[in-house]
Parts: sequence; C-alpha cells; structure tokens
Amino acid sequence: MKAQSRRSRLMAMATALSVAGVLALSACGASDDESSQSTKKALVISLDSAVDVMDPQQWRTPASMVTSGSLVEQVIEQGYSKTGGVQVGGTDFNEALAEKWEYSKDGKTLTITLRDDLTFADGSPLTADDVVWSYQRGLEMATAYTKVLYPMVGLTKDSFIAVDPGTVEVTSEFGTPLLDKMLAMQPFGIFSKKAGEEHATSDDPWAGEWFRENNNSSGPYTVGAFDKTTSVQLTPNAKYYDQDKIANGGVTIQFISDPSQRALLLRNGEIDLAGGLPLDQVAELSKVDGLSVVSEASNRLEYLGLNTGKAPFDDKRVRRAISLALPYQTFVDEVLYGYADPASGLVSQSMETHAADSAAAFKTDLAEAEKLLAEAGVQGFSTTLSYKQSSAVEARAAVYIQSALKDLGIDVQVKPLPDAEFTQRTVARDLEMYLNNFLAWGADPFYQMASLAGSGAGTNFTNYANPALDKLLQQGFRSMEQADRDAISAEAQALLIEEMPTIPLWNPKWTYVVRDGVTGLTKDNTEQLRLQYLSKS
Amino acid sequence: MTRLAVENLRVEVPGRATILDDVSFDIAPGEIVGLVGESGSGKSMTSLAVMGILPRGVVQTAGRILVDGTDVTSVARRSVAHRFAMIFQNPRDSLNPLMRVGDQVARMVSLHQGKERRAARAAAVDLLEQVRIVEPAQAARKYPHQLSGGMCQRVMIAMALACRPQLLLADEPTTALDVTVQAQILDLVVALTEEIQCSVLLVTHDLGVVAETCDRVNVLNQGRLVETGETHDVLSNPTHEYTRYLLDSARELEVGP
Amino acid sequence: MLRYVLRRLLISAVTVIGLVLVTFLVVRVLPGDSAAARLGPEASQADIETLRTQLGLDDPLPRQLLDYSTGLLHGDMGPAVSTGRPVSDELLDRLPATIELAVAGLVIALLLGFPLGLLAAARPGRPSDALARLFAVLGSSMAPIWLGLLLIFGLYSTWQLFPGPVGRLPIGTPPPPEVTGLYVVDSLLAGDFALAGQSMQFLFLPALTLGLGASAAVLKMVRSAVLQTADSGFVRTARAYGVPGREVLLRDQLRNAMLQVLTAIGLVFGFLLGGNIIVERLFNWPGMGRVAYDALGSNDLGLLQGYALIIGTLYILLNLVVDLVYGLIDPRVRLGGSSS
Repeated sequence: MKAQSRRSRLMAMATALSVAGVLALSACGASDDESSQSTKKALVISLDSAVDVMDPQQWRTPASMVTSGSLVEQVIEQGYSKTGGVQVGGTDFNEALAEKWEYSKDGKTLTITLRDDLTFADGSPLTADDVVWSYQRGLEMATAYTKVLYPMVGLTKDSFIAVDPGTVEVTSEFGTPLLDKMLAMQPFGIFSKKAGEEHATSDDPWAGEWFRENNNSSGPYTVGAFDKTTSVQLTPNAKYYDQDKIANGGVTIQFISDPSQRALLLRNGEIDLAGGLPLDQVAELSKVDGLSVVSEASNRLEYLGLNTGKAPFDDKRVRRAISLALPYQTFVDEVLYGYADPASGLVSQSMETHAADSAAAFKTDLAEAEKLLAEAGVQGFSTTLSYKQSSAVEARAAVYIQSALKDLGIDVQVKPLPDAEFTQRTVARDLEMYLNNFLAWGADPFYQMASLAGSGAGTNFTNYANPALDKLLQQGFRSMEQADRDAISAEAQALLIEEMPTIPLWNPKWTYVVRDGVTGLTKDNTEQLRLQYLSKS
Repeated sequence: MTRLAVENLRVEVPGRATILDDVSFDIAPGEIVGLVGESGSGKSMTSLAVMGILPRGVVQTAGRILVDGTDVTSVARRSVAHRFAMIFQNPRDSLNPLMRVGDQVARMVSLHQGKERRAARAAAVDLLEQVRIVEPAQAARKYPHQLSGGMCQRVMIAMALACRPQLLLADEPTTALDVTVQAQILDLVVALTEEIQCSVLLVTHDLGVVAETCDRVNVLNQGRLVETGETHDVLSNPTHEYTRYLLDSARELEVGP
Repeated sequence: MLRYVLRRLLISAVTVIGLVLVTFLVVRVLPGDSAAARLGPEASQADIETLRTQLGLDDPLPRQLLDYSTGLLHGDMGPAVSTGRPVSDELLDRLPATIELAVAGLVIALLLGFPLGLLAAARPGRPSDALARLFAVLGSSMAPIWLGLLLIFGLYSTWQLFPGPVGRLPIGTPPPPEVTGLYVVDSLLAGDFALAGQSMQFLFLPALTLGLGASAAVLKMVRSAVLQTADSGFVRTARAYGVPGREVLLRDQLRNAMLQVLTAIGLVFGFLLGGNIIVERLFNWPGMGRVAYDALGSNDLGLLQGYALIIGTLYILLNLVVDLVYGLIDPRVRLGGSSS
C-alpha cells in the first residue's frame, strides 16, 4: 500500500510539473517586434489567393501576378490620376526604365532609349540585351501566358533588336495604341538575361523553372522571406531606379485562404489591407470605425454566355429576348450589394471609346422580349445554366436569372460545376448557358470585344463567329487616331448589341478594404495593385 | 464460537428475481462445510454474498453474516478486515493476464501482510513452494497463459494463503480441471487448511467431492436450504427428496443407466 | 513475437499496394481536365494537348499505373499538374504542419477523454457517468467548423485570449531552424522558449477544435473498454481480496482495457490526420489538408493521388505501430503459446 501511494504521488507531481511547464512556455509567448525605424512603414496585406510562382510570365494566381510584378520594372508606366487614396491608370504613359521612347511616323517602329546606370538587384547592369531577351522570352517560352498577346500587336520573334547597349528597336507589322498598353504591363517587365542563361537547360532554354522560384529584381522589391504555405515578404530593392517611388518599408503578403478570416484579421488590426472579401462582408466592414472601403469602377465584366451554335440560341432574336428579361439593377443591388455597375455593353463604361448610348439597350422589357421570341417562333424551352461551384456571387445571380427567364417561358435548370470541370467544358464549348467573367488587360476595347466575340478567340466560348465583326475589330486594332477608334468601336458595339452573342450582366467594382491611413492603392490597366505606391500613416 | 454464521440471508435482483431466500448455516473453526446444488441453485451467489462482492444489480435485502460473532454485513473489503479468501472455478480467468503470477501473489502479500516489495516477492515464492509448485522462483516469473489449469489454481491457493485466512471460500475449485488434477488440488486444499486451522466453505455440485472432503454439508435448491447435516448422514440417509434426487443422479453417472 | 511482427509487416505492405491501386483508379474517375485547368482558359487546344502528352494523361491506364508505381519506388510521386512542381515537394513540405496539429489534437483528446472515460467507468450509472456521457454526446455532435468558429469568435475576437487564424506563428515571425518541421519541437531544440511558447499559442485553438470532437470518441472507447473488464474473473478476484477500488480500476481494469484503447487511439489519430482539412482551412493552418482542398477544385490528379497515398500510408504505419506496441504489451502475444 505504501508503495502504491508513493507512486501515485510521484505521478501527480510529474503531471503538475508538466502542466506548469506548458503554461509557462505559452505565457512566454508574446513578443512584439516593432523594428521599423524608417519613416516608411511596412504593410501587411492579404489578397484573394496565395503566391506560388515568382515569374511574371508564368503566374497562376492574381496574388502571384502582384508579387511577380513587383520583381520587374517595365520600360514605360501608365500615368495615374489620383483621387483620395486611390490612383487610377489612364491612357497616357510615362518613362520608367526608358529615358525616352519614340514611334516612327507610320507607328510601326518603336525606339526605346534606356536610362543610364540601370542595374538589377545583384548589381549587374540592365541593358538592351536584357530587354530583348525578356520580350523574346514572353513569346517563345512554352509556358508563357503572354504569347497570345504578341499577334494582337503585330509582334513576331524578329521584332526585337538591341541596337546598342542603351537602345532597343521594336518593329511591329502594324501600328497600334495597344502596344504601349502592353509594354507597361507587368508581364513585359525586364528579366536579367545573365541570370536566365546561367540557369537555362536544354529542356528549359528560358530558365522557366528557375524564375518560378527565384528572381534578380529590376523592380521595386526583392523577396525577403518566402514561405509558400504562409506568406511572402517583399523588401524594397536598393537598386531600383527611383527610390522615391517606393512609399513603404516593404510589403508582406499573408496567405489567408478563408475570406471571412481575412475580414476578421483586418478588423482586428492584424493586416492593413484585404482584397477578395465577400461583398456582403465589405458592406458590413464599411460601417466599422477605422476601416475604409476602396471601390472603383472596373473593366472586369460578368457575362451570360450562350452557345450560339445550338438552337434556339443560334437565333439572335432569342438571345436579345433573353437580354431583355434580365434584372440588371437587381444584380447590382442584391447580388453585389451595390459594389458594381450595371451592364452597359461588352465595352465597359470606363473603357475608352465606350458608346454612351449602349447602356440603354440593357433594360428589362418583358413585352419586347416576348415579341422577339414570338417572331423567332420559339414557344418555351428548357436549358441548363452552369457556373463555377466556388463562386457564391454567381450562385446567387443564377437564381435571379432562373426566375426572370421563367417569366418568358424558359425553364432554366441551375447546375454548378466543380471549377476544373467548368473550365474543361467551357473550353470544349459545349455548355448551353453559363456565367463567367473576363478582364481584358490593357483596358483596350478592341481587345475586349475580340476576346469575347472574335472568331476562334481562346476566351470566346460561345461558338460565335462573325467575319464582319472580326474585320471591324482588326481595323480597330490598327487605328491610331482617336476619332477613328471611336467610330469603329461604336459600330462594333452596335453590331454586338444587335447580335447579342453574349450578354453582359455587370461590371463588379475593384474593391479593397483598408485600415484608415492606408493610401496609394493603384489600379493599373491590369487592375492589380502596384505595391510600391502603398503607404501607411 | 462459530467461525461463520449466515442468518436468514436473502439475496435478490430487486423487482426481478429472488436468488437466495432465508438461507442459514454456520461453519465452526477448522471445519470444512460443503454447499451443494445444481447450477442455478444459488450456491455461487451464496459465497459471493459471504465475501461481500455481489455483482452489480444483485443486492442482499435481508439477513446477517457473522464472523466470530461480529456482524460484518455492512463491512466492505471483508477479506482484509476478517481474513477471508476465495478461490474460483476458472483459475486462469481469475488471474490478471498481464501480470506475472509471482507479482500477483506478492500483491496480496503486500495488501494483507503489509510487507514491502522485495519481502513480498520473497514471501510469494515461498507460498508458491507451499502449494507444491516445483521450481517456484521460475514459476513466479510466468504469466497465467503459460501455466496449466492446475498450476493456475495452485497460484490462486497461494494467493489465498497470503491472506492467512480464517475462512476460505472455494467456489467449484476443481470443476474446470482435469480429473487427475482434481484430486491433487483437493488434497492440497484440505492439507493446507488443516495446517493453518482455516475453515472452508466448499461450493460444488459434485457429491463425490463432498463425500471425500466435507465434515458437514448443506443442500441448496433454488435459493432455499433444504437439508443440512453431517456428510455421511445426509448422503446415506437423505431426508429431503431433492437430496435423494441428487444422489440418484450422481449414482447414475457412476454406474450407468 | 517474431512471427507476429513479420505477419503484421506483410499485411501492411500488401495494404499499401492496394492503397496505391485504389487511389490511382479513384482519382482518374473524377471529371475535369487538369491540364486545361492548369493552363487556364486562354490556352489553345494544341497547348493543352501538348501538356497532356507531356504528363502522360492520354496513355492507356496500365501504362500510367506502371509509370506511377515505378516513380513511387524512387520516391517520386510525379508532378502536380497545376503547378508543375513535384508532388512530393508540395505535400511533404506541409506534412509536418499537419502532423503537429494532429498530435496536438490527439494530446488534447487524450487529456480530456481519458480521465473522463475512466471516471465514467469507475461509477457506471452514477451522475459522474451521466455527465461524462453528456460531454461525449456534445463533443461528437458538434461539427468542427462550428466549434472552430465559436472558439475563434469567443477566445480570439471577443476575449483576446488566443491569437487569430493567421497560421502557425505571428505575421512576420520567422520559423525556427528546421529539424523536424514541428515548430514547438524545433524551437525547444534551438533553445528559443519564447518561440516555442508562441507556437503553442497558435496551435491551441485549432488543436482544441480537433481535440474536443476526438475526445468524445476517446471517452467512449475508454469507458466501454474499462467497463468490459469489470465483469472479468481477475477483477472479481481483486475485489474479493479487498484490493482498494482505485487500484482495481487502474491496475487491473485499465491495464487490461489498454489493449483495446490503444487500437482505438490509433483509429482516432488516423482520423485526426485525415480529417483536419476543414480545421486547416478555417485556421489558415498551412498543412497538407489545405493543399488537398485546392487540388480538388483544380482536379490536380497528381496532388490528389499523392495526398491520398501519404495519408493512407501514414494510417497504415500508425496501425502497424499500434499492433507492434500491442504485441509488446500483451504477454500472450509477446511470449506466444500457452502450455497445456
């Protein structure tokens, strides 16, 4: 008996000790590191995705685009107009890495003169060879997304020449304002040719593998710490060509997969900026002290795609009838909590050449719709509406669409698909009716229209092909005079309203929620943040 | 003074069944008393009641149990307080399969004799020798599953001896053993209890065993005591017809139909 | 004992082979083209075809299986279709986080469930038993996601007792030098007690979310296993000989019940390993579960298969370990055979 009680006493003591130890250690926890001595404060932000790839020509997620974009600089940059804490990119451009850039009279040849003494983060000089190598890479590397863009501006692999270490000549088959817009985009940032050649292999001549994980920055930041599962820390690049452009002491992008948790952490002051929040939460956060909502008109378009190759969607009267039955304002108010602009055509309101009268076509007019259906000889029919399962917004919109079309006698079965399957089936172009969204880079109306309705375009899932439209758009690509562009674009927009191959629904606003004192949110023509302008007071 | 006196014992499952009804008997110091009956007669329950370890749901609702004149009906852990010991029908099942048998005996030595570990272990080996186990030190290191039924029962007896018991309750101690071993175990029990002047309550259905070992016998039928008396009297001249029935059945087994 | 060990090893090996086969087949039944998903909607059909050929997605099934199995023997689980990186990198990088969470959850489950289960079994039918069983019912009926949200709301948002769902460490704090990948262990090994403390703070809420549910299971299993022993012969012997109640419970009942409880613990731990996808997502825990969740959306065959394979293999290993420990504890197995 004594033996047993001694043993149990020992056990009790051991337990008590270990519990005390655990408690002591965890109390030991909190360590505050307030180590910013400089006046430029560092920020912590969280976006709608995680960062996995550091290569601006190979990124997969929007957060990767923002991050990889910070590791390169382009030859030119958009000019911004500032309102409050936001800078919005416009249609004119300023020099970045270039000291000057000039077009020939016919607009087909561009001469870029680089600044003196430009270097990469490792100190090696940035010269014309690097520019040529980078542009070549964007076209020829097998895994580069950018290659689809080159034909749109008439660039081929023979277009790029390094005239001398400080001068690059770019020759295109035709002149187009789209070229400037592209050269200012992050994927057209400048890579280090030396680093590329050092890490190239015979299977991988453009060092795609290396640049996915590494960088030799020409941009405002270099990568400090990078934990693929947690966060990426960007520190200001001491070799960046214009230190004054960097308004902060660094940016940490924290990966928080659950949007509600992101909102929670923003509310509690653990992060300074949050993107990709569900809009109902944005609406709520707008009422919270210490937080502000930044919301700007965007060119991103949510549309209802129709399979124009399949009856009854092959008849434009049916398509237009559908467009007249949809509750556009309801989408904005109920589905998007006010954070959107109602449809005004495939070319959005804030894009250049937007025809002011096209918004009128997107109204609800059941009588007209019924008339059109009768004309087309269509009574009622059933169809399936598909969308990506992961989209809560589209799920809600689908319900409104279903009940709106019921009034026309169209029986819509709502069918969410797993994201990968949705992608597969849109590419296969066999979905009847589907919700999808699209953002054209460069804020170029012809690019926008061609991508969504041009024959054979990769993102035109509707099977619509109209040679007349294609011809107009081709003309538009190549026209340099604003008056010409306005006219051609207006004609194309009118044609698209007449034909309605795909129905624009709304333009969701570019929305972020920030802590008060955070400014410098920059919306460029790819609608991603340019991190160097962010600052915190 | 009687060693054990059971008075008007009533044991039942409340609201369901009566297991023992008004059972009374006694045992003198050093006596071996048998308790016979068929299965279901309540004989095992009697020994459990005396021991104070009735199973869950079974309750003693009337009667007293007296040890050397003291009423122990409400005493828990009687074994320790009054030096009872018990051995069971299935010896291997009655031993802890995860403990070496020597340690199990030593545990009882510690509990009942207050010895510390090392002394208890040594005493355990001695006890194993007392129950006629050859090479007791080696045997002490074995686990129950490594020993035969007979050996296990010897171990149990050693545990009982560790209590220095005044009263040993033996519930069908040989029923589960081989015939050849049965006699050995019985002889052992008788010899040892005689040595230490311990009374024995031998619960069994086997009249042959009773005839060989018991001084007196009680006959239990469906919870009631129907006959009691000196063994040879009861067996040769049973007064109750149930006793006669038992005897007849036993004879048939021996002689054949 | 040796035969027992060998037999268990053989069974485990066969199970792993079966696992490879089953995960391979099941994953290929899922709809969706992973190559298309990887290249995005802008890609041309030609590009998609090229990638498909490169990844062998159009090869006949037996061929794919052969390639995959051969790769496995070299520790190569193939590329993740969606990122191009090796699956083994993507998943094994994150395995320590998942393991740390599962272990912490198990510890909490044991600390809560074990004593309560014992308590319930010690006095069956009494108020303590009823209370313990009530706890078990509550614990097993609360969905982890609900419980997790409740804990975040209460212990973080409202009372600020624990950190928010940021991950394993505070924003901006670098992890300890990697030895095991378990931050608590690695911090202690590096002598950084403050960091160890922080890791434990961040570990607490998600581990509690997992552990509470699991503790209910542990409680029930301990209770039932111990109660079963209550009717056994050796417990009767101990009680008959006046062994004090608590000692009977601990030394006779519990020890013999441990055999069953151990098997149950193995099951619980396996469940914790695989079942923490939701908790990982909720608490932003950078473990394998989160990767698997995303892989499901992008139909990344490589990752899905790798995930199922890793978790399944861990589970098999776990059961093997439990069996072996069982063999060590139970002398009937360890010393084999009985005498006549």
